[in-house]
Amino acid sequence: MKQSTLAVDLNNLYETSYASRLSPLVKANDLENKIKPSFSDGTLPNGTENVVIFQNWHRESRMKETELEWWLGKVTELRSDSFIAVLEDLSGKTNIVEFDKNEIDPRDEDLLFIGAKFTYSISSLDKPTGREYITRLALSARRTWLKEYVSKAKDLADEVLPEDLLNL
Amino acid sequence: MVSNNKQGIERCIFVALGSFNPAILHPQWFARHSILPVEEIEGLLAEPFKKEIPEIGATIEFGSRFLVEPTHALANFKSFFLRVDRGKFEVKCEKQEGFPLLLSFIKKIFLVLPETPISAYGINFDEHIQFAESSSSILSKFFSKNPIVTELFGEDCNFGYKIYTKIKEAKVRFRIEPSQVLEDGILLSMNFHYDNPSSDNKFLTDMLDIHFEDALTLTSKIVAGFGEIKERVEKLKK
Repeated sequence: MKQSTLAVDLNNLYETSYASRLSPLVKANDLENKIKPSFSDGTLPNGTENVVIFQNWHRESRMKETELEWWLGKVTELRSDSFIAVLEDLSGKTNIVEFDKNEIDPRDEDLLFIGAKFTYSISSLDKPTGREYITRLALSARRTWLKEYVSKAKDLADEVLPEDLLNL
Repeated sequence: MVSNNKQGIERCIFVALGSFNPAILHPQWFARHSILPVEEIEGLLAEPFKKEIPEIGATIEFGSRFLVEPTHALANFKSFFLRVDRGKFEVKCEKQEGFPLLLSFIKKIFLVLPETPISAYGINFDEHIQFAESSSSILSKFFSKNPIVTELFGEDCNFGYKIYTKIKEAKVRFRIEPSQVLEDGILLSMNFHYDNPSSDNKFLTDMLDIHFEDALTLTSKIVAGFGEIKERVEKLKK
């Protein structure tokens, strides 16, 4: 009786699962051949090993984040301890704002240059311990143009488009 | 899954065509730039919950999956499903309350990645609905059976229609036909296609809210015109 119920539950699970993430030892066809026919008559299969069925499922989060504002920023001026940026929100409204450089994650300092883009957001986060407010400033991970790139670009251009290309 | 939800439009599929870099679209990138709230992403980054069944040597893993590779990205967020390859960006949302989040998600991505070339985008609504009135009765209001059709295919044959038109900037394709997944139901499929008239992405980031509102309003009006909804298919098999 216990086996039969388990088999039915698993069969239902198999039916509703859209994604099967299987161990390397078991291919999708094996799963189909070994499990599905066995479950359809209510009995458990024999000899199935290392079968992993992945069921898409979202656990109920204990947190809820509500966005209060989100901006796209562009750095326009660097100062010793701060930088100036133009911020644009999702409706297209712009503001000029000065940020303290301490707002930047030390690991991202090399991403801060004139013209750098970043996102800046303020949100509230409801947790079991109460409400928190979060600000995030994330610079886009773009490379700044360095002088040594010039010679590399020239070499590449010479290789792709040699001067004698059209000397037919 | 069939529900008796009376809301007409619950499913939206957004598709953009262009040239994309799926490798960027990692859940941590979405978290870093506050593109989605934490509850949408935390399940993707958590280890799956495992349930072992020693009797048959099986393990069931419950979780949310994502896949990010140079050529394609998949992510199953709480409110919608994202699929991106080199030429196509697609997001599918199956709950109407997720539509505002869907729109801000798309706008934020292409504001942060403005250099992404997008040639066109489409807003699609596909609904399998059973109305109080029978499907054959509703379909016959559009077109009557041609004697040639009945002679060739018999009196009991079912058929559908496609209508192509242009509404403001959108090329609209409306498809109505008997549902293959809901008995006596109708498949209503609306596609609103927008070509990019310029070299930047402002046609999307500046206009998406307006285009979406127009598309949803028209589609809702059409669905409401068919009368009372009895049932609709809530989730389609992927």
